[in-house]
Amino acid sequence: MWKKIILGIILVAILISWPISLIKKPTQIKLETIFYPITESEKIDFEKKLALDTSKLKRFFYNKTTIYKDRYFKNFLVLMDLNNYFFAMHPREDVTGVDYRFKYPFWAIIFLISAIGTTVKNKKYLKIWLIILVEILILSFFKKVDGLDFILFIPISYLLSLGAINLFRWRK
Amino acid sequence: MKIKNWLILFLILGLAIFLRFWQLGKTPEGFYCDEAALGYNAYSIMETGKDEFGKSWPVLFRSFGDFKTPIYVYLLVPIYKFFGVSVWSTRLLSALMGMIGIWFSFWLVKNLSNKISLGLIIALLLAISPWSIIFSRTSYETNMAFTFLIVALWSFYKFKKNKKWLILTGIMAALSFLTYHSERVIVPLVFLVLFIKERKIIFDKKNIKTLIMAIVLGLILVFPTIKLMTTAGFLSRLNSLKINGFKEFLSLYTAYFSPRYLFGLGDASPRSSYPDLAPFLFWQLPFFILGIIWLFEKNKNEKKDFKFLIILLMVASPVPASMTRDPFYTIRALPLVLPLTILIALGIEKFLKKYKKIGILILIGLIIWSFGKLYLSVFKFNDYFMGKYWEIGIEEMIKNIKKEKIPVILDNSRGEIYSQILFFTKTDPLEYQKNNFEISETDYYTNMTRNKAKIIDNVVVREIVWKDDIFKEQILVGDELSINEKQIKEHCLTKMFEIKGLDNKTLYIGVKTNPELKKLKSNAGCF
Repeated sequence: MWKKIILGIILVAILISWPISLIKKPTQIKLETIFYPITESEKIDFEKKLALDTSKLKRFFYNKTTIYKDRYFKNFLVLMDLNNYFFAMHPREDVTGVDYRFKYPFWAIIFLISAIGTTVKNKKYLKIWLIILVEILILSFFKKVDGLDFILFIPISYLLSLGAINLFRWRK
Repeated sequence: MKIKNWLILFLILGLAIFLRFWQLGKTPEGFYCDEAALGYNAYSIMETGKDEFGKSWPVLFRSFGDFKTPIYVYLLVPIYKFFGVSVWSTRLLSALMGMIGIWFSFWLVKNLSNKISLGLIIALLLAISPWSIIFSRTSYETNMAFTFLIVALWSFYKFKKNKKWLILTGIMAALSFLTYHSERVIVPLVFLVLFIKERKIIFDKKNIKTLIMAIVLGLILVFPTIKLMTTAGFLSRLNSLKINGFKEFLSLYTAYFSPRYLFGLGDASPRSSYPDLAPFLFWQLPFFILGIIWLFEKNKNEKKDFKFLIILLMVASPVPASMTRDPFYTIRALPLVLPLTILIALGIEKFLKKYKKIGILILIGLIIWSFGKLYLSVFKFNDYFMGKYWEIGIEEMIKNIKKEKIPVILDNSRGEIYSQILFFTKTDPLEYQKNNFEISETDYYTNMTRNKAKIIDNVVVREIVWKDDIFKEQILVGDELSINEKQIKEHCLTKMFEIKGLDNKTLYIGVKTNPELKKLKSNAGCF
């Protein structure tokens, strides 16, 4: 009985954190993509690299697509960052357009580890990871993902709940 | 092992040698003060048996209000005897350790997994690992401590077949413990767990003599350092870096496993990463995820010791780094490179099993891509973008001031520049010790009081005192913040030299004072 109550409290704490954060600190959703004009600092950095080496090798690594590729990968990795979800981006809160939002309680990370264990052993859960991956791949195209990234709330919360439930079962 | 595998291994080692030894003394251009301090102390020990403060054969090396571990310094002595004192020879030790690390990582993984192919993939990934390359090309103790740890682990698992290897384990673990601060936490943690796990074999009657011998040898090596555990010197590093609270610790700890840091952001410290390169290459991310899946899978054929060691190293390696306040500090978490690289290698192995020939072609393509990326970042971009952090220009500035016969004041308000002067001028250690008393031998480890002003021949290293220094005939040297055009005009100074960086920004300016003219013109300005 007590275990069920504790599990219930934990699940509620996991499920309400992100929505409450959005209510307390609302965000304005903008659908601007990463294909916005090149900024001055990006241009300077890029031109310096071009000037430092004039070989064909450099052309292969640094060309017209480089800045957009970098923007995309940066967004992708931010959305893959554990600390983005459990520590409000701490210790490197240096991403524009993310807003250091409190998404899940930090202790819930243990349930993610438990969820990975469970989902790896049972292939039927593979589609949850696929949903997360597809969502991240799409979200990475946007300049500002704060608010938009709430589409990750359902699959991630499902995984955390699964992890918590399994951990409690195991404790039995 | 078949000839084909030996050939592949030596090709990989050839690649590793190129990435570690080519232009070793030239890039990173510049020579950081910590590197110079290690180098000059080794030179001082070689010449006098004492360090820069006059302490005979120190157990820890006092340095910039902190203490450096001793092994790198002592091992530099034979290198200097053989190759002379230079930037190249100082970094040579670290590069050699990087190579030894790759060699023993191959054998450790091969022996534990019973797969030559996996060992070869590990060796290849470490050869092109930006995390491994940067600490192999620079004089930091961390790479050496990590190599000793790998050798200790390799010999520990060899011990199961031949008990004598336990003695080498004891010695190597002790050396690792002594070589870098992080290993003071990692080594006891890892070997305590391994000893508990393997207690039946280790404490077996027939092994007990060897065990005692290994422990005694290890303790003999670490005892002098343990004796200092409560002194200010031993604790100074920890006290200056400690963090607050479990949540803070956990946030720093998880960062060491976060793809954002491992494959994107990297280390914020400019001397711990190359431009546009994270600790791992971006294409390795999918294989890393496959490796994580392997970690959670249950496989009947898997070697339990292998998985156990990976998990143990993964858990233990970031602990000391997470106890300090710097986020994702790769220098302190270097041993983590091994388990994470093994995970990537396992992912690649899985991929190659499924896609065979096409997989090998893709892998070769990725290696060529990585090599190109490494070449640009390590040999082309690093000196330009990171040069000032490696304190580029000091050697040239020293050449300029050595020409001067009159006194030189070298401003040290933003750095510990004296160690580079000592290193590049190979100042006579006895002469330097005589002119720069800081602490008695008895207070060496306990009293942290510093004397920041240093006298090296005609050079005085201290902050410039404008109200006094312009009224004596001398050369003032400083960076662009210490000496600017306005001050030159205002104080009737004559510009003697200007050192510029690769980006054409001023690094150091040397000016000659004109006391007579200044007195004449008073505050009116000189021009």
